[in-house]
Amino acid sequence: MASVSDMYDVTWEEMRDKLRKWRDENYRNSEQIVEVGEELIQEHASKLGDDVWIIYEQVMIAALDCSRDDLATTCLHELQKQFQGSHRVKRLAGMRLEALERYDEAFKMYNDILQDDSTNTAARKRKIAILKAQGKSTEAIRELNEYLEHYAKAAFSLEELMMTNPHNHLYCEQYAEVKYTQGGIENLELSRKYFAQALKLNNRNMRALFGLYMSASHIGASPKASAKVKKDNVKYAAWAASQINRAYQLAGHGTKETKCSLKAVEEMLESMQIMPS
Amino acid sequence: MMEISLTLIDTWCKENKYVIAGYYQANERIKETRPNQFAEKVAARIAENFSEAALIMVDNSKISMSCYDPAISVFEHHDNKWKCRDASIDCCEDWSEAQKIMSALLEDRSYDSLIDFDNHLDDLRNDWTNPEINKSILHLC
Repeated sequence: MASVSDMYDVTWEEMRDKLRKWRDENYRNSEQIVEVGEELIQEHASKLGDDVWIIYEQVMIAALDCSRDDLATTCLHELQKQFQGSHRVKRLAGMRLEALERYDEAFKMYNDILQDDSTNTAARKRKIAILKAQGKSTEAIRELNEYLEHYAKAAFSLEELMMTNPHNHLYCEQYAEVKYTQGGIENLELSRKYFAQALKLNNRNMRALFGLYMSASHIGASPKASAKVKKDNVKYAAWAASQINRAYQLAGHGTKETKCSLKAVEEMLESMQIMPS
Repeated sequence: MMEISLTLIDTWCKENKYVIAGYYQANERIKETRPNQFAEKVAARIAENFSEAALIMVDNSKISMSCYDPAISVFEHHDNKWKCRDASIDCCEDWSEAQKIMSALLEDRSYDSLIDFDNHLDDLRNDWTNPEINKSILHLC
């Protein structure tokens, strides 16, 4: 079987740099990580210096995703030899047990860590993951609440996230979506405002644009809205519709397929009562 | 976004003489193969526009390169409930043909280039109609 370095004509340094890029950007492209990482550690481990340990960790987690218990165990053994008694490595051992569906053993491992160090967030997170995987939603929620009490306080609620991260358009957009789902005219107005805010922060956020269109359209058509509120929202919706059309035009560059979806978008917007200006 | 995606896809379908005929879902937990409330709601909405709509649940534990047993169960709408069609009745026209095509696609890693509506919202140039993959499937038939 051809090696990665042969197939793609890359050096071991480039492979190492690729792994670092994937680590930094939090990619979960496990198949690729296993392909590149396995060859790197088999052929070039001695050249990697101190990087080798974080690479073992990265490859191990990817190996678990790909059901490569053989590779995961190899990585784990190297880490256990080097970092005896480490909680970080113990958590990896727990993850391997989870992958083998040995949940009770994994759960015990995380409880051991927490007994030693009750502030270990990673272990708490894994316990919640196990409960979720077992379908024990009530217990998962209980553990999650404990987790929030200890570390995040209210920080994981969207409102807190938005206050502490005012420039993050994604939190704004998520909040808007929650309000939209809750429904009712007040929530719709709030949702429209937050979609608009998300757009202000990132004018290419398509979900925010569609969200603005939908929320404004619904308010504009609502019998509970005053004449002025209706008029304003019809305007907002029309603006959003024209922006949506424009975005599709820009993306299309006139290819045949996208001409189709451009027409579909126009028709969809028309069918929702609000005419694009 | 589900509202948007269904409406947009529906409009596209009418343009291209297609109809949304069903909904398939694969649950997060492998052992859970029954449709949840969300799946039932979406499928019911689809059934409003197409009375013979099918709700298909994928059983991931059965998917492999050479799965002889169909990895899906089909649910049909009767009396406002979704009932599982008898597993002894064939769920597909030709499962072994479908399975051959699926193995070929899996081996080629087509899933790396598969675009869903979420991918489309991330970048409008991502085509949720997946023309390339559909071409490959036709070639494999």
